[in-house]
Amino acid sequence: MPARSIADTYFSIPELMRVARGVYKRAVDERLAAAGFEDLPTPGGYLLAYLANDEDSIPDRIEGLGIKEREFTQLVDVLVLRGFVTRTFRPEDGTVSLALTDRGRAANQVSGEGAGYVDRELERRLTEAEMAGLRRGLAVLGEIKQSLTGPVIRRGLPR
Amino acid sequence: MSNHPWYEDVPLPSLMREARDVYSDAIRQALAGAGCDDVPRTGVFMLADLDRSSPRPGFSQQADVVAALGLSKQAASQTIDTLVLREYLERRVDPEDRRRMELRLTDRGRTAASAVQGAIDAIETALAQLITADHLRGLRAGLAAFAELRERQQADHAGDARRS
Repeated sequence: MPARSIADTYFSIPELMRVARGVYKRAVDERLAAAGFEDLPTPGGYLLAYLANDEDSIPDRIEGLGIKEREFTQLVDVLVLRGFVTRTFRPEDGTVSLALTDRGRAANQVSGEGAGYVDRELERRLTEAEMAGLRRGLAVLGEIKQSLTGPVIRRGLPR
Repeated sequence: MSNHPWYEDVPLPSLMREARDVYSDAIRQALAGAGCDDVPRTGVFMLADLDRSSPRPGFSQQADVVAALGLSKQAASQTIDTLVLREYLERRVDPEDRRRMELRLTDRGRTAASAVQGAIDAIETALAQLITADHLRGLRAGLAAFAELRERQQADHAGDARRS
């Protein structure tokens, strides 16, 4: 008897979302470990991507990661200690700036390769119309979530 | 003003992350409203599955329930223990085969399952109003593709673990 496909096994969207969960994380984690960056904490990869894009202020980064300010400070401590990020305090205006180190840039590139692999696999398996439906469906689910939970907790993560 | 949808420029992992908790958030709210806020996260789908698959007073084979969950045997057993302890499930030895266990929902379990299904239905209704049937098919196809990739990753990982 042929094996049942995922679509035949799981009928509802929430079940599919449950079994689909973690696909990007696994792809990224495998590549990070192989490249010697297994000490990059989970939300750290997102922060490295923010810094690589250099688009947002620190409050925006905290909001984008969906974590509390104290957790953000602890995350940055770990990233500084492990050599992914440098932190500079400017006494003249009391601001703190973060920047990627060479190690941080390399880890960010490896993370991007992991996510890119999943994106390419998906594009290979789906038609253009299915991709459009996937994007639209996920976007609407995100909007429904925001309408349920009140104010937006997380914004889009960096490209 | 551009007609370009905002989500076209958002990377898929970000869209996944934004969307992923929509059902669990709604389900948590519904369970709390029904006085069932102690259902373990992994037990939510088990209750909903049992509600669909075994109209009262029927029992389901525990092995079938576990297989449908996609959890490890250990995680599934722990979830069942918790659900029995918290009076969502009734467990008994199969009278026709004493090597097997059977499960069915209690009254509390049915209340919880009904709350779960209500929350899911509300989101499905909203989704159907906001996207076309073609987009819905694409969403399902895309999530199934994600899930297949995830299964392959798990199989590869298990193969690596056996070889090492």
